[in-house]
Amino acid sequence: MLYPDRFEYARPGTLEEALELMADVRDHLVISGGTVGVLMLKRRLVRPELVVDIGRLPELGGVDAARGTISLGSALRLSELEGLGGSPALSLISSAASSVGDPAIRTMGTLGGNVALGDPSNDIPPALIALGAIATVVGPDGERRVGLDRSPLGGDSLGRIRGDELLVRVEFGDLPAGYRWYYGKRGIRHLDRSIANVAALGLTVDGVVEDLRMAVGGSACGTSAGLRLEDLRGARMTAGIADEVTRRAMSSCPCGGYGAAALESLVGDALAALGGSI
Amino acid sequence: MATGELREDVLANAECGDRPRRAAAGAARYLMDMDPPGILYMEVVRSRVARGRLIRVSGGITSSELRAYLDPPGAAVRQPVLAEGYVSYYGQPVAVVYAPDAYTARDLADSVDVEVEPEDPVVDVDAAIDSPPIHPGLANNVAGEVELGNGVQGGDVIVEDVLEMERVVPNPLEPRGVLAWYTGGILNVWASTQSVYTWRSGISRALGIPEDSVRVMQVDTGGAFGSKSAVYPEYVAAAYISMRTGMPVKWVESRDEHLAAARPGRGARARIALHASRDGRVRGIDAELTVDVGAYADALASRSPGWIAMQLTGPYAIGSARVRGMAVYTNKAPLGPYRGAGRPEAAFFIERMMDLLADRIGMDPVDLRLANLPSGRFTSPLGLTVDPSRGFFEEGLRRIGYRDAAARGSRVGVSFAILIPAVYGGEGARISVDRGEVRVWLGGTDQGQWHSEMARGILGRVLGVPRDRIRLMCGDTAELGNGVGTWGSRSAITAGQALTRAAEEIREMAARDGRRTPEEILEGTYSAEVMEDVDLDPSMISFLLTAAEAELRGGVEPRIRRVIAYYDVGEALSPRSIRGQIIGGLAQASSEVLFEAQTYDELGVPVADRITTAGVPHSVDVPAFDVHVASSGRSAAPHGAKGVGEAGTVGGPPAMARAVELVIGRRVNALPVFGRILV
Amino acid sequence: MRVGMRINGQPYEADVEPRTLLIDFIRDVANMKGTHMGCGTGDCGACTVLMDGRPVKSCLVLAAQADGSDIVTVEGLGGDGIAGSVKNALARSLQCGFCAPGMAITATWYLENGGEPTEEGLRNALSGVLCRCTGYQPIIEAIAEEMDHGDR
Repeated sequence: MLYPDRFEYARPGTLEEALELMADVRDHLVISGGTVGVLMLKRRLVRPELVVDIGRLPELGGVDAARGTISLGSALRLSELEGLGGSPALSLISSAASSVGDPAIRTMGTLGGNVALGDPSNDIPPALIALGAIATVVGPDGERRVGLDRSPLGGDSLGRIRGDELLVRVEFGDLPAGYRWYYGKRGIRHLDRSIANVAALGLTVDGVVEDLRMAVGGSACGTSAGLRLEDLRGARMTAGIADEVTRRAMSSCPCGGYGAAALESLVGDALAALGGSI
Repeated sequence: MATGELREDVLANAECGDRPRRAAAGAARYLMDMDPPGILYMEVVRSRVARGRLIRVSGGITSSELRAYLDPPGAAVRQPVLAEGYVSYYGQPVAVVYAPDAYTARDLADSVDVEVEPEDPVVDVDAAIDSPPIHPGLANNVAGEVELGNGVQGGDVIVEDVLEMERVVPNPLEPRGVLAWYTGGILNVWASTQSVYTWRSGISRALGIPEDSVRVMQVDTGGAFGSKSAVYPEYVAAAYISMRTGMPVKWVESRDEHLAAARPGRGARARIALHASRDGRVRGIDAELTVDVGAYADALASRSPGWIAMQLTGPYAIGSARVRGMAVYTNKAPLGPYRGAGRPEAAFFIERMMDLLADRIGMDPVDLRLANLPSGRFTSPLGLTVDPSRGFFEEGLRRIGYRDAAARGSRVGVSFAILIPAVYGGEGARISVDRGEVRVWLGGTDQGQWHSEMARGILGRVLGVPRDRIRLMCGDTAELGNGVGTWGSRSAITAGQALTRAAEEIREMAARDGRRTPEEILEGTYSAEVMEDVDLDPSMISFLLTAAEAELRGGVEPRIRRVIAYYDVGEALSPRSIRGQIIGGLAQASSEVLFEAQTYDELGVPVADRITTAGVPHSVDVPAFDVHVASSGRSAAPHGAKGVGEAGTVGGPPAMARAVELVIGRRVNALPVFGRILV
Repeated sequence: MRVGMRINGQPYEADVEPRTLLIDFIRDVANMKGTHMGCGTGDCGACTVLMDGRPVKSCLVLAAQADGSDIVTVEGLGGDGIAGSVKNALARSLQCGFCAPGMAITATWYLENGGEPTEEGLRNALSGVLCRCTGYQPIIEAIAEEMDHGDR
């Protein structure tokens, strides 16, 4: 049977306490929801001396929507993100969150867990990339901010979080009504890693692209990546533009076969959802 | 030697028949729920390489202490319970450890170092045929060879293909497990099992103890699908530890152990050609079958090429055939039965070729099939005798709306298949009427098949006894001394026949006492125990008509949308149970076609290590099911029923594969589609 | 370490290793065997319980994470109302019964929290609970039927 190796467990009451513990005990594992961490422990892929549970830290919770900027705490549960709405940006996040796993996984899984571990098939990173989110990471040397307009947080990415740091929150500008949004993914088996996923946002006024943002990811892509689409602003939404977006999406993902076909179909769905006449 | 106290309640034979109600209340008791005092938990140390010389094992009980073998009749090579000298598959048990709590047992298992000098594993069947034997002392890696048929009569049209079905792990939701307690000279074994009899004979044989010193008791069993029929090394090891310590020893596998070391099924390939005339009449089949039996093969596995070959003509009257079959050893987990066990393979092979032939000559695939059905009882050159079925299939096609083009849809896959029940061995049954209650024991256990419904139906018919007085008990060698088991769609016929005979005996005994009404019979005390032999009669073979529709989500992702089954069950003993078995089997067929398989990398390491990656389907993965419970006539069994358990996995895959190929526009000649066709 | 929680309304507290899983706290400390271990990796849902009102996969939660919480297992769902309807539905549609905890807990939670007893709604709600025997349709049909009868 799968059981973890022995470890000590700590549930610090403040972020500061958590960081101190992490600095004191180098051989540690941080868990917030545990859906990834506890499984790693059970499979004995990691055998830390100390497990630090940050799931209930007050500094990591909460949704804040003040003055046009939305801030999401990293310990927010996916089920809480699922319940967000009322604006295109929050609806995109909600849609991506509701795609993760199943209701029971979403009870425990957190924003931080879905964003900070670098799994290319995770659902939230493309949504945050499309939103041009900025992540706040805190460590022994203080806070730093990492922009997510092109690339994900975590894993092998340049924005990866170091072993002694924690993701605190992500922030992004709210978007006015009129923006359309899309999140979609294709996989083979339910609960298995998705092969391709796409998050997109767009504002088209009288057939002219005012704004168009897209991020793609999935196991076939190997990472999540934001597409460079700013130069398309001001163009009329046509089949040619759709083809160009598709071309850029495909070239950002070095996959072939079914993975490529799946990605292409999602890009098509995204563009249709954003309301272009294609 | 310390001994635990064997409490009466632990030894008492429990009721198995009302499991759904108890499970819904959280009151079912499966193997992992048993916690007698003094319990020891066993864990298995397994090989992490597929092939190599065993140099050193740093701890635990190894083969130097426990020298025991699985030695089923007909096996060319015995599998050691614990690897001896060399390892032959990833996951093979090398040592066992035990501890008074489960977490510590896991720690102990992890602390054991297994030193293996790896050798190049044989992973591909064609390479295996050409490679030196993986077992010293054998001439080669051929575990069995067969040639059937009378030679192929050629035709004007020849269609050829290579068809493959990857290995599939049974994956019942409840993993394998055993509780062994040797006390008072008796080895008590509590089992999550399809048969208490195979376990009794297999464990006693492996340990060299008399069969009557072993008592096997079934407990609530959470599914099996073939994986809980034969004896595994782990059961023998747990029994041994209990004999050594006198304490109860429990072993429950983790899912990754099931995926690596429980016996997968399928793993078959056919190089096959149909010879036909231009009007669609098939004149001959020419085929070469290869079955990947893994590192060890019992009689079932080594004979599977012949068993598949025998069924290759399906329901059709095909007059000539030549089939060569080979079972091949590889460095993979040993092959075992998985729901259908050779029948799905045969159906897939012939039905995929019928579709290919229809496409080649431009004939409707259904009309082609109908044109090849026999007009009378037909014996094929491969040794199969089938009854005519045209009337059944034509009625079925009408009933499912196939002939109404508007209702049918344009992309429908259809299969005609047969289901041969594994009646050999017959079955045992015992009935006890006592204090107003009727208790029933059947030789084959219930792991979810609602045998209680069949029992209620039969006893209602023969004795008139009301449903609520009838209790189906768990399998127990102490309560019913002789029996066979639940597999191969055999229960309705064999257990049904045995139960019918036992009920008739009770009726006769009661009549001699002047008791004729149900109330009177229940006032008496009667017992009947029978062991019935059952010979396969062609009338026992069921016919299966399956139709499937697929769709392409987002223009790219094939999914099976709907499956309609018109299945022959002879006399329907329990419609609800029948419908449940058919739908369950069709669900497994849908994942087997699309994405369920266990594959191996070039080092022979199994790829899927979690249940979702292995492809067991979730609710949102399966199609809609439309089931018609039908009959082509009564079987020769006294109650007229036919088998049904495996119907879905036999009839489903060819119809679903056809539906998928119609939407993706590519020939589906290998399963699963995701992985073999869409890459 | 000391871990305490309420399970089906009763308090349980014990000294356990930090690595103890919630499922084992439920099964061994509270001695409630109705919740099952099917896969160990959070895919099959046989270990599903309610934690503070929401379904969780108890094989992926440390008992320590559940310290101070309110747990409801399949044994604690009761026989009235929606829970009773779900139980009746399962009693006539399950085959081997091993998936019962996941089905019972998840379906009851879904329906009690405004979920529609439709085929689609139930199928999606149960997407994290594996059943190897039934092919799901009989379970979903039975629950929808029981909910329909309940209304009359």
